[in-house]
Amino acid sequence: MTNAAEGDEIRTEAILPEDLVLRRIPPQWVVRDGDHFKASSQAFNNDGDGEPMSIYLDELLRLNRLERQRVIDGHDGFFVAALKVEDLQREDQEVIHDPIEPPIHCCDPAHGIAVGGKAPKVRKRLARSARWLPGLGPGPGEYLDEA
Amino acid sequence: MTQTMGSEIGGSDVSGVVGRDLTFACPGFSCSASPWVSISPGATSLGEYFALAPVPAQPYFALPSSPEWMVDIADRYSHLSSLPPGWDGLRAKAVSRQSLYRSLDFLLQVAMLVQIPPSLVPTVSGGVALEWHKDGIDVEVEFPSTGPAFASVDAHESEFEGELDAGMSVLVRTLMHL
Repeated sequence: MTNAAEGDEIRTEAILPEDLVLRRIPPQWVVRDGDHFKASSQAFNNDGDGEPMSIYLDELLRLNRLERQRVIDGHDGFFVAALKVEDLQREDQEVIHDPIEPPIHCCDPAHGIAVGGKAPKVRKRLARSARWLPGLGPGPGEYLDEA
Repeated sequence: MTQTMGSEIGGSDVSGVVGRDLTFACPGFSCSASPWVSISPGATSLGEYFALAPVPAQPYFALPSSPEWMVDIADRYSHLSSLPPGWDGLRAKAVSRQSLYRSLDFLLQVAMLVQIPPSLVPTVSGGVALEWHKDGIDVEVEFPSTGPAFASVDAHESEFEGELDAGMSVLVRTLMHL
């Protein structure tokens, strides 16, 4: 269960527009774009039960001394895409720290949600903004440039 | 001719069924005498989805052969049909039979118009999306478990977003130029 519904543990003030959020991408959501691979717009929808889209807050992973690749621990074959918080905010998505309690996965303390409607246009724009994390993408594609 | 394949192939997987149907259909797929690959939405197993049905009264496109990439697509359908609930690591639903049926039916209608295969993508709510992306052109068609199919076209000279039926002409025109 998440804490957001209970109204505690919410620290939106600590989340900055330039921060990154990470999204697990199962292989079923990888699509071809010419010779490249990108995440489908379907990867940026709310969950199957209508709950907000799950994300991991990159800054909180760092504060918890967790490497980014730990996000897909236990999820063989999955990839990781990154979005800037401002990409989500531009689409009227509220990014909230929503740690999963009690933690099941090592990254659960850095878990968050992107709250807001995910109309097809919104999902498509999010997919265009997303970048694979270096070393955690499916092959040729657009990767996060951290230079 | 109406013949149910389900009784012949029993529990065979989808890829085998589609591959065989297409192999069978390709050589003679020229006119009204040819069988049309179709699916039975009321089937109780994946094998039973596929039936050789009479040519539709108004076939969308009568073309000489099926594209080779349909065999790979058949494998992909087989994969999608086997995804368990939670395949996304969270709470995604299993892909519904109705979505498989509707998306494949659509794909069979437009397959010969398109040079490149679509990416087949499951949705969290049990639907299926077909996506084509190339050279800045994006075409997506989503078949939810219930309700109308939704199409989205972003091409250099045309855009559309709405129910599939309303955007069919834009969609077909765009697919033909991919």
